[in-house]
Amino acid sequence: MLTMDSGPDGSVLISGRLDAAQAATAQAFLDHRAGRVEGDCTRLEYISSAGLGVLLKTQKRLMASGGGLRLRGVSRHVRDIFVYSGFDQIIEIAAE
Amino acid sequence: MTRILRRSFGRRLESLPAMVDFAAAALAGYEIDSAQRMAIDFAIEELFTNMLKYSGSGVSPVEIAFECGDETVQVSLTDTDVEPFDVTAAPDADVTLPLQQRQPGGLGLHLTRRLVDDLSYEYLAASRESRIRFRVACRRRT
Repeated sequence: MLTMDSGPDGSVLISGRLDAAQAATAQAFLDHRAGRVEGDCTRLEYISSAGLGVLLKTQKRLMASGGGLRLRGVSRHVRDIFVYSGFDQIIEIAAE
Repeated sequence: MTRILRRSFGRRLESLPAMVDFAAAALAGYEIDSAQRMAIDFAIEELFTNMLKYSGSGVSPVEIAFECGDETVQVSLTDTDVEPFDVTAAPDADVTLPLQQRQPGGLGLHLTRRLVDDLSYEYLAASRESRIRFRVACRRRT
């Protein structure tokens, strides 16, 4: 189960499992964001390659218009996925 | 003692939540941390979605089996009536490419190989079965 919501500070709250079954839902939510977007991953339990695809597409779109995606609250096991895929080099991930 | 749990899943993305529940039930008796659980769920999803993508001729459900030993869990995914597709021979992704050159896709098997302890493939021509196995070290609770 995945939940995408807007936080009180304007961030995107990403909760649950960002897998292939939920990728379209996540993409549809992120497609409505522009500029500098902060993703709060504190409650993100799981991400698969389909979820990485959503983040990649979003980062490309945002950066093309001068914005960008920043992720915070990334757990150790999700961070491992970002490191092994090289996504820590193309998306800003806040140090915890 | 090894305990074996098997279940078949329909060839659709909507099967993924049921697979997660099945894995949770199979692993209930193990000392398992979030990284190990992530590795198992990740490998199952990537191998299953790979079967959907590259074994389009298949119509049978995909069987997932957990062989639960004292020190390791071995998971196999079996796809029936399909052409061979050796996931262990797939090339690694180039994870050093800059953002502009990145395209979605190609990371699933690359990451799976790094998350599990072992990944093997066999094709049984007589029954046209593709079987992928992977192993994760985790200790059964005493």
